[in-house]
Amino acid sequence: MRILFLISIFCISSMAVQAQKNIYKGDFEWQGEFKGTAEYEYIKDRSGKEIPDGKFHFFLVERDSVNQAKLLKKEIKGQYKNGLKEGKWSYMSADHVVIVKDVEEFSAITDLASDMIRIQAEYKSDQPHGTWKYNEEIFRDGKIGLVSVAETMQVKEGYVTGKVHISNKSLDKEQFITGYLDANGHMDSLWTMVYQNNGVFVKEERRYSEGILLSLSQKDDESGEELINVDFSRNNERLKALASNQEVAFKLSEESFGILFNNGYRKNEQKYEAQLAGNEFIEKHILLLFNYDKKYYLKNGQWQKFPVRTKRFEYPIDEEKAKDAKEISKLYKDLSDKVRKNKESSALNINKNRTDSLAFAFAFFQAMDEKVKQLKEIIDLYETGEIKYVDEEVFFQEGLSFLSSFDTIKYTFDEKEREKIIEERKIIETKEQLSRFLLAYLENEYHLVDKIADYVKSVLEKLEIDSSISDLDEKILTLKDIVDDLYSGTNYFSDKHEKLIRRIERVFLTDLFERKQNEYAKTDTYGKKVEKAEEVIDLLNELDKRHEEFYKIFERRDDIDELYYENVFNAFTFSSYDQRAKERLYKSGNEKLFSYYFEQMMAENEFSAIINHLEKIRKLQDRLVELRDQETRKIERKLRRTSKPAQIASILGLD
Amino acid sequence: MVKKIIGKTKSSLEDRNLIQMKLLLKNFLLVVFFIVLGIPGFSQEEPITRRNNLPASTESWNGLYLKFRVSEKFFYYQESHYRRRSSLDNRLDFVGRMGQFYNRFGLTFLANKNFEITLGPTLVWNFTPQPGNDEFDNSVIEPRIWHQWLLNHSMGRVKILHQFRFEHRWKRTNNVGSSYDYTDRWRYKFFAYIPINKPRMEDRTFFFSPSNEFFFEAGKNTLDIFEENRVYTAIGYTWGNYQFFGGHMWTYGPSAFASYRNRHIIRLNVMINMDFRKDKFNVRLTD
Repeated sequence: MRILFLISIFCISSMAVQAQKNIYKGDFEWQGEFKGTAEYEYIKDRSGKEIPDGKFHFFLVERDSVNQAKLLKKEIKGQYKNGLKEGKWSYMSADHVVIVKDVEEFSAITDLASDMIRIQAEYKSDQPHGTWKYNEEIFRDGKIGLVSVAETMQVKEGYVTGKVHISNKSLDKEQFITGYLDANGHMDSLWTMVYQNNGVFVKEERRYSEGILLSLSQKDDESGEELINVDFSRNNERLKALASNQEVAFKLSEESFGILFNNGYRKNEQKYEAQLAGNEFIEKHILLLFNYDKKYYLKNGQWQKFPVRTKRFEYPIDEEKAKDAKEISKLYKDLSDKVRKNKESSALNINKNRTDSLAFAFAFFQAMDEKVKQLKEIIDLYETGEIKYVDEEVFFQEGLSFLSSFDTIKYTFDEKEREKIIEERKIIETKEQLSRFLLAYLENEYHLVDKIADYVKSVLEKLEIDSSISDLDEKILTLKDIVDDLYSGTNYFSDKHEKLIRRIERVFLTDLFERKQNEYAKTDTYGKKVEKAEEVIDLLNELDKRHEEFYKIFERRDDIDELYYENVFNAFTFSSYDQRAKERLYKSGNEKLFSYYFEQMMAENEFSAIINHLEKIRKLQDRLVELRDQETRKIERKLRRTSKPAQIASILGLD
Repeated sequence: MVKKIIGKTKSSLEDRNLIQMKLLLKNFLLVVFFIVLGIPGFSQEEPITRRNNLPASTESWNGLYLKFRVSEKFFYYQESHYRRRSSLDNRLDFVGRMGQFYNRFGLTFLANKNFEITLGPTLVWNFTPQPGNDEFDNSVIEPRIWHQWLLNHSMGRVKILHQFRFEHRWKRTNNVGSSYDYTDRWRYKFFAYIPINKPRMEDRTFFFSPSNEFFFEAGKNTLDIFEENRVYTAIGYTWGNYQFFGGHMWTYGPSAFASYRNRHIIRLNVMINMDFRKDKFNVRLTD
């Protein structure tokens, strides 16, 4: 009993905590769009997060940053229920421009120009639901004028239903939309619009039934001239067929769609294009009404849910069609990838003027790329699943001119205009089933593209190889000339230097080079030939690189000789002269060991071994420089006991 | 004759007066005789008309010279000599007796490359001329204060130096109980370094170094101002911080009134020249 009592107390207190409302009053950002102050009631959930619940009032007044006379004002009022909009809401947005014309007796005489938009809305669980109204007024010269109004309309779960009348008097002539939507928000009956398009006031009339567009006509509202009259009678026939329960291969879609009615119309078709201007006019004015509910209707600037809807005819897809759809999507991707790769091939681009075939191939891939782009519209239908709403007969009505059985490719070669007709394509007879046709077409195209791509690849590879070998030959010869000049023009530092250079010239630059070059010339396989060429080039590069180093070791030897002198003043004879410093160290290092390494270099027949000795000399010289200023008595004592190069090197710390 | 004169007297008083008169006469004549003997020209020997050159003696001098540079302008100077002389009974043995142990110290100021001044003390031990003879102290100390000007200049490859040295000495003989005499001494040495195997004096150079030094002395008990002349002919070799040279020196000067001594001295010297400044390496660095 006691336990039950405690549990009850706990639950009640929890609920009390939850039910207890708090009031927030302070800065507030409305849906990430603008900032002001808000006062609202809220509750906290279990995690402590604030949930608006109850009255909500947002207010914003600020001066325009550019025009200080302009005042921007917004006010939003409504109710939340557990974080969701509920019931009636009002939105007010106004721009006021106050201009002070004069001041008399400390009273300002001002001129006010205002634009004010008011929206009366209603929600149910955050969904627009209920009675909505919109009006836009201006205040000029002391008078209020109505600019735009959307008369009271009903919204059901986000969709407009019933009668719609939106009027706009911002221009000289009134623009308006009048229409009707059924209980599910689908356009129905007669829709009449007057709007300005390209400077002309157009009166457009559409007739819908159950969300299906049955007719569309446009007239010049002033002259009465008929501009467009689009025949959608097929849709009417279909509706009648459905209504009479005929066995047909289509049905009315269960899904609803945006304002654009499409039964498989292509973008450049009249049935498609004729709707665009009117649709834009409707969308613009509907959006004014739901300006504060963009998140509900839009995603990334695109309609994800449209308050005014249409229906379409659905053409069920059987298993075969579904399978075709997958294959079409895959095949299209392979085709477009291949075409793009070849179109963007820099190798083909660079070499397109080499042969007639390559010039043709280049032009072919440019043309195919355009074709692939044109195909995308159709392929998208399969990929998005929209194909089930496409009447293939309608789709084929305008024809698929770009899907021709043969192509004439025009190109330029050798400064002459040429053309080639591709006759390899199979002529696809059937046009009864779009997917079958597309599949066959794509297969055909892929086969053709593949064939030409393979041809291009083989030609380019061969060109590349030939070009590559030619480049290698040239590279070797050029490099050889450079290195020959370098060695023959050597400015000898000393006799030893001359001896070394001459030997390297004879053994490596002449004998070894010739041997390697012959090996390269005799090799047939491209891969191995490249390897041999790289060996030759590496040898020449090494000879080039080391030439200066050969000079430097002798130059440095002289520098070390100078370094190991110190200037002495003989205080008895009053004479100043240079005398050898650290003589034993100097003689062991710069004379004995250097000479030893040099003789070893002279005896080598492998260039890598010569480099090795060169490195040893460099290390020796670095060490001698390092030791010049250090305490070396210990080292010199050890050097006294030996004259063997290996031991000298060890004593000097070179091993 | 006198005895005969004394034996023949008759009366006692007259005889005594006669004897006394005769004695007086005898003594007077003796005095006259000896006086006359002392007058030059009247003695039996020749009068002194020329110098008396004593037979030459020999000596061996071995010296260590140090000159250490302690700063840009200052040097520490030191000479230490071990000098022996010929035996009493053999003038030609060079080393028969200990001669002197000689130490000279000084601080040198190098005014410029041609002129320097040195000042310092000297301490000399002079050894007995007759070892074993108790009449002589075995060694006596001779302290000195010395200062010197040294000028140098070149004539082609030859270096010529002029050394003006001044010494203020307190010295005594080795005779037991002799007292110190103070003397001033001044010396001028002209010497040269003539390189043989190199164009100038530098490292590893054989050289020839002739010199001549005049010594003058003045003091309360000094008879001759001119003390000595030394002619020195040396050859030497420079090797790093060392300089080795040696040669023959001949000295000539008065030892007593009208007597002149001369000595043949073999001198062997080592000179060490070092630089103790921190940045002593004046080298051209590479890399």
